[in-house]
Amino acid sequence: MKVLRNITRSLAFRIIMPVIALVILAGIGLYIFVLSSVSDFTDRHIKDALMGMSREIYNICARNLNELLKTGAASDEKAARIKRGLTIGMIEDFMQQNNLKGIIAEKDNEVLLAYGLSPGLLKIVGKNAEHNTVSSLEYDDKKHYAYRMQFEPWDWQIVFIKDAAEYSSLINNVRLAYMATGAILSITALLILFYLNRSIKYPINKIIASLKAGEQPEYEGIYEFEFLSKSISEMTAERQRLMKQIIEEQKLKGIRVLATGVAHNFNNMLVGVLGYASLISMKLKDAKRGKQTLQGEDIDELLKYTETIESSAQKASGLARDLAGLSRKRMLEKESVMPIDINKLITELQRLLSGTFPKNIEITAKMNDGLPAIKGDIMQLEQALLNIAINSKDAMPDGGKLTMKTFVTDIVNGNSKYHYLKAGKYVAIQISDTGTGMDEATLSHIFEPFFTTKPVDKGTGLGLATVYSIIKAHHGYVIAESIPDKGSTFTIYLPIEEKNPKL
Amino acid sequence: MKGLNLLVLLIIFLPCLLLKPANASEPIEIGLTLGLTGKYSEMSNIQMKGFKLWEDHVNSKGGILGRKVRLVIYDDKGDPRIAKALYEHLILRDKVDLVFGPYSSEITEAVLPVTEQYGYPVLVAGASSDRLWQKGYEYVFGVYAPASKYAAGFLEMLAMNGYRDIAIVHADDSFSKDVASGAKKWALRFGLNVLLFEGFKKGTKNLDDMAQRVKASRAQVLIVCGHFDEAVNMRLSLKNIKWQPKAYYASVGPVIRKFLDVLKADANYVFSSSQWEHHGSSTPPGCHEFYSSYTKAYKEDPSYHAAVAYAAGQILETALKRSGNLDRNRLRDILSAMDTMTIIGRYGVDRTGVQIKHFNLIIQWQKGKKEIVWPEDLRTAKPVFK
Repeated sequence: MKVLRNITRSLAFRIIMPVIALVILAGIGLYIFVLSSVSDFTDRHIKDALMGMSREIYNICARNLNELLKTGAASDEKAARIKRGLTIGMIEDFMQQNNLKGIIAEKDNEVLLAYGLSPGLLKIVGKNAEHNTVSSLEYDDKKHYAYRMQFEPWDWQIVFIKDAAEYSSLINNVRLAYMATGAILSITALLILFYLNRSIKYPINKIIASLKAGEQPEYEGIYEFEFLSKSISEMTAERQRLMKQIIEEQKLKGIRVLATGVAHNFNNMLVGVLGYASLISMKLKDAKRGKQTLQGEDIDELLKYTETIESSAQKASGLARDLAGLSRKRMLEKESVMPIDINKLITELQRLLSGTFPKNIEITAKMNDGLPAIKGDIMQLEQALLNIAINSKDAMPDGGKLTMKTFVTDIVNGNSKYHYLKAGKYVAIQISDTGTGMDEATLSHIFEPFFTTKPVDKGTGLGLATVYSIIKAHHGYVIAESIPDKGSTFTIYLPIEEKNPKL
Repeated sequence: MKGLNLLVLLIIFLPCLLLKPANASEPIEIGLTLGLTGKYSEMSNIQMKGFKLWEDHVNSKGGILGRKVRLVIYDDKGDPRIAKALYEHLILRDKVDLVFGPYSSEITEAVLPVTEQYGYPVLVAGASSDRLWQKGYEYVFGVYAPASKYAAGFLEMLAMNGYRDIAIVHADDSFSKDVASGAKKWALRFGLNVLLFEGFKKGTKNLDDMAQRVKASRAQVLIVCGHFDEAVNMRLSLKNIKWQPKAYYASVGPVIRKFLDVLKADANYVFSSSQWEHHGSSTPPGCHEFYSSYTKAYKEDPSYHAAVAYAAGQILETALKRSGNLDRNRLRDILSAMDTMTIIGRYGVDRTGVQIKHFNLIIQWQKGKKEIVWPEDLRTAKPVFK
């Protein structure tokens, strides 16, 4: 059904169908109007021909009778018999010359002449035919036209028939003309199709091909298509410019968020460091002035302060390290790239998560067998998956379901809602939760660094940014879908290279 | 240098030397066979005289299309196989331009497939069997009135004179059979009774038994369909059984002088059909000239066999003049549509090539003289019934 729909929606179909319909209609029209009128003409021609012949036969009879009357021998039985005999001979000659078959019978059905026919035919024709009309009949397995007439003075019934095949050359000519016209129509249709293909389908395909390849169409030729091509080209250029601008703005925004985040985090940490440092400083100054002697308790307190300072400084140092890791363009180390069995990775991840996640989170994995191996850095991929899983766990404070799936998918140009996915085969990993979910606005920022919805002390806002950066390094894609209060789904697409070995 | 010039001249004029002027000086060759020896020798030899006379006449007038005419005549000995081989020889070896038909329906039937195969139009000047035109041939044109109409005039005469009971016997060759079936058909049309209708083997010398059966049938009139020998043999058989019908008709034979020479007084009262007879009031143009030149050349009266041969020549001559060349397909078309006069009367064929314009005469030997007895308007004497 879908295939049919695809066919009927194609431009080729829309072009071919009207042409074929036109040819069929023209053919039917030709058949109905031309062929039927020609067959009418043939019928009339045949009837006229037979009528003409019947008149001639009648004239032969009439002439001979008149000759008999003129000689005054009409009452002479012998002379009349001879004259009738001669008349029959003349009619026989006429029939031979005109390729007729026929019968002459007297009133009491005594057959006087049966030229080329069995006398029984008289009855057959007699049943079917009125006097002086043309009828058709089957004789000798062939179609014939029959004519029945009467010569009253001698009470003669005359029937003659003519083989319809004699007129078949006329009919054949018409048929030939019809076939020739059909052929011309078909050729014309093909030429029209060829022309339409050249002038419509070819330019459109050229424009579409450029668009699919991500290039700007550069069609030149037919004005309208050229205009279209140029407009699309301009629009694409404009879109790319806008995209670039948006990305720049996003980057700037990211940097702003990053800067704010860094400043905020560092500030928090530095506040601790500064606060405790000044407390220590205050205590030590007092001791120096002799106001206060440092007792064991005081020393413990001071130590606590320094520990806090140390811890804050360490946190700051960790943050600095994370930042460095994020800002460095992630590259896969050659020695750490190896074929990875994604299903095995997921199995291990499942085991790890089951041991560490709260018991109210149910973890399941549905893996498609026979996945091809993916080349990559197993540590990094594990990190990425773990980050997503942790996010899911945090989204399910009251428990829920965490489902992991693997499968192979074939992305064809135009068949995915994520059109920026390059066509090709991918191993997909899908991680879904039944957690709080996200709204559209949140969803559009989740891969940005320092974007977080978690409490300040809970997350750094770098988890999903890291995921994004790892997957990019693997030439893959990560897509997040979410419905508030229903849950979120993260799908990672990792391209399958043809040379990847099957596991 | 001089040698080179000569060479150039040679190269230029060599084609002219090799190409003869379009064989204009060569005669038009027309081939045919006749049974000059064998069973058809009587009629065949007469026909040859007719053809030869036409050849002489046409050449004395300067030929046709500016070329002389040369007849190539072979003796087929009255054998269809020999005739067929000879026509192949004429067409393929002699490469004659045109052909005439041979004598007799039997021989003609054998050669027509050959002439048809090679697209040679044939004027059939020695045969009239209807079946020759029932095979769908496209190059065959009759000169004789067809066999089926041979006896029609005689039968009309019988009906007019009140003789109703007849017997028809025939030899088993195609011509004789066609004459017989035609006679029967016409007899019925004229209201006559056919009391006996029988065939016998061609070449049967003694027909006494057949004559007895005819007598036993109580027929008043006997019609014998055959050639010269049958006509003579039946007359002798009738004499043998000492019985005479009221009228005795033989399809072919009685018209020639030899019939009288062989039968003498017994030839009297015998009826026959003739394609042509010369008499004082003969109307077709040129027939008197033909008669006088024939008698002058051969010291004998021409029978219709000679006249038909001559007429065939005339027809071909007219057709060639209309055509203007020797294209045989064109000639075929002209012969199909032509309506012309010859010394024997009108020529014109129907769609199948059957002669329809020419008609037969009925003759009867009376007191050692051949008289025309039908049609009434042309007759030289009244028919005599014994």
